Amino acid sequence: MFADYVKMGAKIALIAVITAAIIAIFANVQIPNLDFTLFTNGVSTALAIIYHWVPGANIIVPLAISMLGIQLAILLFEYAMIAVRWVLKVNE
Amino acid sequence: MKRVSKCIKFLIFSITLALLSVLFSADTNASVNIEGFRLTNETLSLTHSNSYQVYVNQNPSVWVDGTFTWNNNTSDYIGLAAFRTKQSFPVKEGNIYKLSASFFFRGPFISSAPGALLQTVNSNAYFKLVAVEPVQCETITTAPGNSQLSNVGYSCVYDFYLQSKTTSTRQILIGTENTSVMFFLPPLSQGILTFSQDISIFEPSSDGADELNEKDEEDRTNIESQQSDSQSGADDSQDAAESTGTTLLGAFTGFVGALTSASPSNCNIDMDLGNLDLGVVNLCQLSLPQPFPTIASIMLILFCVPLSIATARKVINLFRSFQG
Repeated sequence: MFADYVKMGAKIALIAVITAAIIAIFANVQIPNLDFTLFTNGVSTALAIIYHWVPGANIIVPLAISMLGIQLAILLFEYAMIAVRWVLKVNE
Repeated sequence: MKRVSKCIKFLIFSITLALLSVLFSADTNASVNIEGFRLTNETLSLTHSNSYQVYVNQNPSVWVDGTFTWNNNTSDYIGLAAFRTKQSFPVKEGNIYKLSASFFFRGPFISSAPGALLQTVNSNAYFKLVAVEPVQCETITTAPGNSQLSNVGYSCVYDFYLQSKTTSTRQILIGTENTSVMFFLPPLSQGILTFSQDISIFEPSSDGADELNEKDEEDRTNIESQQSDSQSGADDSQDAAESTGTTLLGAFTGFVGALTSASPSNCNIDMDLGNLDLGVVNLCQLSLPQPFPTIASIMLILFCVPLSIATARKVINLFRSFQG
């Protein structure tokens, strides 16, 4: 019984380290400040044209982006649940 | 095996996310763009005879100056609604940015009209500064006099400083779609409408910057102290990091910002793609055959329907997995 808790604790620690590493990478790893104006302005301009010419696009496009965001959140949640199940499996 | 597959999927997903973040990260040296400016047709349609000109001078200034003739005998007001400008410009640490916007009407008016001569439907949103903080805004309303020819209007000046020490592009949005201004006028009157907007950028070494520095030194100190409080001692590492580039997180934020900052535009769209500047294009003058917007709208909806179904199924599956 005690060994099970030790295993779970070790797994939680491992997950915490990996999560912290991912966060640290995203927050600290530097990429060069290149000029990506073509992409940023291109996206904004394209969206502005779509909004102007396509009726209802200013509602549908944010809706689609929101749904993609929801799917992303669900994906992350599923990975979190996989991690939880793995922690609770003490025979591995 | 299944877990390995999921891990590979997650890895691919992360790499894709990082690549997208890099591709769409905020640029550092964008020029000043004036995306849209509109004086709505409501004003022009009400004025039966008018001469109106829009000047877009050298960036970053824009102004409108028009003379109108008010021929309507039945109504005693005109509406000037929903002017909006969106500008993006690079901000640098130490620079002082002074944004001024003013709107003036010069002409005869009915002094006995309730609510004075100039009204804003939503005065709070009249000058809205987005994504730049802190803001010092002073709205000046010139009280109408009793003479037959007077100046009335709004003038708003923003002084703002750069909180973050990163050099990036900021966007400001002035005015909203719901903003409108009404002038109460006598029938058959004539007048001049003027809208002006200007962004003055003071380098730290210039006299203007010194003057503003002295004037608002206390405010700036407060801002910096708030900034240092919020950063809670991580300044040194951040300073060293920010001098070389941006982080993946910052790049991702820039990508999301590029998506979310796009808003329904007016007729004029600045086709500035960075390396390729096509100038300002008036979309209202470009006629598009009627079926195309409809087809595009249907295609967008057709794209959204399976996406909605897939999202709903995922949510349902998530709940089922809890029940099972």
